[in-house]
Amino acid sequence: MTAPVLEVTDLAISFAHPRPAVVSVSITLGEAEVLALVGESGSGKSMTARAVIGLLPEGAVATGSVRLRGEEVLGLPEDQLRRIRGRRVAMVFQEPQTALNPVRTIGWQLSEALRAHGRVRGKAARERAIELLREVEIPDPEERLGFYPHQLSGGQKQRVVLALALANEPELLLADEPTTALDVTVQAEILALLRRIRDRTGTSIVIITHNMGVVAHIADRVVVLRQGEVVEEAETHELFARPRHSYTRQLLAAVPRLPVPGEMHAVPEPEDSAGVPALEYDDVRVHYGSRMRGRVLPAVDGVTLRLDRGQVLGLVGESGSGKTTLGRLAAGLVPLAGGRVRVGGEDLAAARGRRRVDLRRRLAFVHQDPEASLDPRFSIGDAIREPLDVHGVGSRRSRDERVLELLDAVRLPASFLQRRPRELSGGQRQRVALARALTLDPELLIADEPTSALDVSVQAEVLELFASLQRRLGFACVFISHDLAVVNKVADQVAVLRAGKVVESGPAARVFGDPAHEYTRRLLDAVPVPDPTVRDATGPALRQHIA
Amino acid sequence: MSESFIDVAAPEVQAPHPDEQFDQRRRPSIWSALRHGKGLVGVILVGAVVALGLLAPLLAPHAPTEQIAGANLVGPSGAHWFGTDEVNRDIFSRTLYGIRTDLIVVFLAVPIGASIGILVGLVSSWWSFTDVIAQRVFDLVLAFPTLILAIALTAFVGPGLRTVFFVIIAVELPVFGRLTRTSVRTVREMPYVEAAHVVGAGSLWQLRRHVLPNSMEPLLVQLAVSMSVAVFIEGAMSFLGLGVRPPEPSLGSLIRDGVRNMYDAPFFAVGPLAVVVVLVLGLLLVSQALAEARRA
Amino acid sequence: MGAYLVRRVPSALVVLVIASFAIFAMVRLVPGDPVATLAGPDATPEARAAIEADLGLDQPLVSQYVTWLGQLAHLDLGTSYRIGGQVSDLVADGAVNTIVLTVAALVLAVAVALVSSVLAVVLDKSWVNAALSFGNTLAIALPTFVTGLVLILLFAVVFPVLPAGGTPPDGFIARPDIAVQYLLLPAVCLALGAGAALTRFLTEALRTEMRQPYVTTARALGISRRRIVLTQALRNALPSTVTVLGIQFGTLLGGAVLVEAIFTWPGLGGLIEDAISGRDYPLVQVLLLLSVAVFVVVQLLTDIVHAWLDPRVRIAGGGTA
Repeated sequence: MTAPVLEVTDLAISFAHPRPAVVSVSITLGEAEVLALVGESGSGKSMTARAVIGLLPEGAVATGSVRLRGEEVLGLPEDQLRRIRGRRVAMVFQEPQTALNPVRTIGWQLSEALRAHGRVRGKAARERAIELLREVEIPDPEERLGFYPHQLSGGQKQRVVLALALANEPELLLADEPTTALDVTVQAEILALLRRIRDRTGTSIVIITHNMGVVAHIADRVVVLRQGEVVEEAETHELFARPRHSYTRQLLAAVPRLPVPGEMHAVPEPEDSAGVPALEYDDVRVHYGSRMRGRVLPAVDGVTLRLDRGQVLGLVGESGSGKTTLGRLAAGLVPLAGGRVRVGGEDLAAARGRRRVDLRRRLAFVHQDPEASLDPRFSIGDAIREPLDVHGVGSRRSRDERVLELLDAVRLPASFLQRRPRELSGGQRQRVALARALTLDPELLIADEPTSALDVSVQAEVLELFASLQRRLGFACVFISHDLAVVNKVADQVAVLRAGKVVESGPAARVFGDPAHEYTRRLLDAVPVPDPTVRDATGPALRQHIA
Repeated sequence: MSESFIDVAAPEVQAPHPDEQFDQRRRPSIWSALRHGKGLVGVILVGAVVALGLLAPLLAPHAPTEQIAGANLVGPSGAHWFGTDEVNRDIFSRTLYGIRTDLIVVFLAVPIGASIGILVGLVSSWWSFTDVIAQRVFDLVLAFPTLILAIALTAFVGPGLRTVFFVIIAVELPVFGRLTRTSVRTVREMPYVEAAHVVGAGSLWQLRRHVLPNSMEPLLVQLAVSMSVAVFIEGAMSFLGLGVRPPEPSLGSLIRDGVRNMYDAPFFAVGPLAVVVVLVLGLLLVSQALAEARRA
Repeated sequence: MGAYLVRRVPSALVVLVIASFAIFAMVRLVPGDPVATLAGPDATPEARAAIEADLGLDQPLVSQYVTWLGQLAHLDLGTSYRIGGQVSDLVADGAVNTIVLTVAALVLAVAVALVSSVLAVVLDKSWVNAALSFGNTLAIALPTFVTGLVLILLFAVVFPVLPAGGTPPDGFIARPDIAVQYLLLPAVCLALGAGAALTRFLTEALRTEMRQPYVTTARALGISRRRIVLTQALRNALPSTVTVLGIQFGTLLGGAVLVEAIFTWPGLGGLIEDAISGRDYPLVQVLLLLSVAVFVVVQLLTDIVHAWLDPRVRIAGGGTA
């Protein structure tokens, strides 16, 4: 019996600073197998992969054993590791935007990868590079060799990164969140490509992901990690059908899901409700780029939408669809090029002086990035108080009481008042941002991807908190997200955007359950469903769809 | 481990929650960089020179312009630590008083130039119209190499301490104006400033509460750098005969006199040179320590 | 790229025109009467008026300015009041010396910065870094007049191996071996600060590049660290380094004034000092304008080179998300 492609035993990785990143991880990987390493942030999944390829960050100490076909890798000197990297183990990273050298052509980078292991040079290298680009299904490979990374789309960049990894025909491919930074439709294409590469070349793949949908879509076997330890290991179907460990069950439960198509019954479109809507977009247009530079691009192109009081409007779409711009428009953060935006019936752009301040009081904004959404110099208490201070609401004491009330409403203890944002986790910071947004009892809340930077289980908590607050306080909300399942969970109404235009809008249940537009259907199809049985059923269909 | 992940009622008490891995270390204020290593050395060097300057009347054995009979260009001795100059004055005493001139430049002219620059940068960067004008003016002033600007200004107001003062303000104003503008532009677009803007906080509020406090650190680093540059400018101007007029001593003018007597009395320039090096080095170390603390 | 030039060149011209007017106005506002200086205290009003008319000082300021611009366009720079001779000759003589000195210093600074920063990042040893950082801080902390004096004391007074100052008697071309001896001390003195600043910047830029994800990608492909530094990190750090180089060139020009004074090097620095103290209008304004023009041109050049080095500016992106 030959040794397995990869065998990791009792791997532990520690740093001088806090607790160990990896406590004890053991994995075995067979020929042409796709293994998924699943876990939330801090589970040690990326560190494990880096240990395999010998690229641990400085100061990391690894113990245990990592064997490639029986040969020990851990503790090898740099020059021997270098011969293994790229040649026997290759790695694909999360962010294709930065994974390629911006000032070198694609062809140069490919030939550099080939040169590293002294295989081919010159004309032969060029031919091999073309062949590699063809392998990752990039059109016009000859021409693309002369391209710089910025001339390619995100998905194409990730394909080039994949081509680099495959250049020296490694036995093992490590893919660290290879599709996380991509749009869903692109993600589906890359996942399909990975599987085809495995089928064609017999390369074993370790895919590192937090996304249960991706796992269900591609993996043969799954290892669930938590806090640097393996909690469960199982064949994919088995894991989804009968998760044994409670943590796996929690992870699966926390994943927001979309309705299964066809299960939906017809939902009546609500009749035009009376009363002043909370927010109205009336043939709104926004341009990006400056006229001086001669390139004016429409970011939002003739959007008309309305949001009734107490309702949640979900804006969904891929990058470049204009969803974020629409949200910023409602908050008055972007200048309009045409049309009207009315908040509670009043034109935000036209309001001046006192009226403008009054109007602004009724608005609030929650930003995507928990790192930057709070002023690092403000204590949590001061951050939540700020809107009250701005408008001079009530006495000092009543403001303090209100802050405590809000902290309690977002389920944070009063002891957090004196803390600084730096001392809070991402999920806690987003809750504080939510509390601050609710300080003045807004009529309209704009939430721009408020949970996309959070782990699934934390996202589930924040979403649940958001939904219950929304029901209790009855504010209207524009909820922006690239994640259809998340929007499905919180939104009453949904608008699907593409290239600055509304493709389809209506009640969430109807749009997601029974999409009227072809693009919506494609978006929905591309979302990897956290259920491996679906993959078996739809796999071929997906392939067709990409072709 | 707790099974109640999804139960949000008490998530904070679950210790190994995956979302709990935040950095527990409080970020130390950048001032603490001055309490050890490079920063401490810098503070000690600067402190020593400042103390010498402030205590000059107590420490100096002679008045700075006092002419001592019979002591013409004598080398360093117990009576005259740095020797005496060509008109029989005690160089050590002149150096101590000369430090005072430089202290005025470093701790008065630079902060004045910096304050005006920061103010202009803050106000102008808020509107695109004033921003463009301010940037053009800054470009224009920065287009002159410092010393050529100094020479030109001297032509305008004549040599003297006042000119050194003007030159430093003229040089530092655009430097700080530009830096402030960069900071303002960056901080203004931070989500927390936008969040304040959305709920109705006015420009003044945003500037005072968020933008200015969060822009302080780079400005502080620049202040230390500019102070060391100021010592250099004073020295260079006096060296070229554009600075402090005799018989008033300054570090730069002492070095100039030293150079004039370099072949007869090579010791002359050594004392003032050493003081200048210590002062510049100290300020530079402080700025480097602050910059490193900021990056960490 | 073409569009980039179209945007960038006019704004440089605007700075130049504004600067030329500012210089012109400033020179005229300087206290001190050139007519009195030239004519002497006992001159008759008629003699004064004659001199005034000769210099064009009786015309309104704006028309004087326009006349001056016209002369500039014909490279007719006028006659020096005090020093005597054609301004163009004076400037040309000084400019040659200053340019030789500045360019020598620039080459020296760039060479030192490239070698030491690449070494520091490739070796990545703590003692190398400590030594470099120490040398660097020292080189930046020592003001030019200090290093200049120390160099003279050391190499011309204590060990008299090199000339203490002046330019090579036979010019730069005839006896290059002697020219180098004359050039060495002032060039080193001038290069020291700029070289240290450049080294510091480039080392930091290379370290930042080495933390970029594309470097991790390259390392995961088995490419050696040294090769990554030389073929990838350096290439990425180059555009911003060119910008810094442009700024350092301005510093060098300013520093040249001082270095020329220390080493009695007859360049533009001494000329400008003499011209200002002598209220030599035609000379002063040409020299000031020249220094601004050089600075503006250098900045324009660095911007263009920067854009040309960065394919993201040179070639418009064709990719969409």
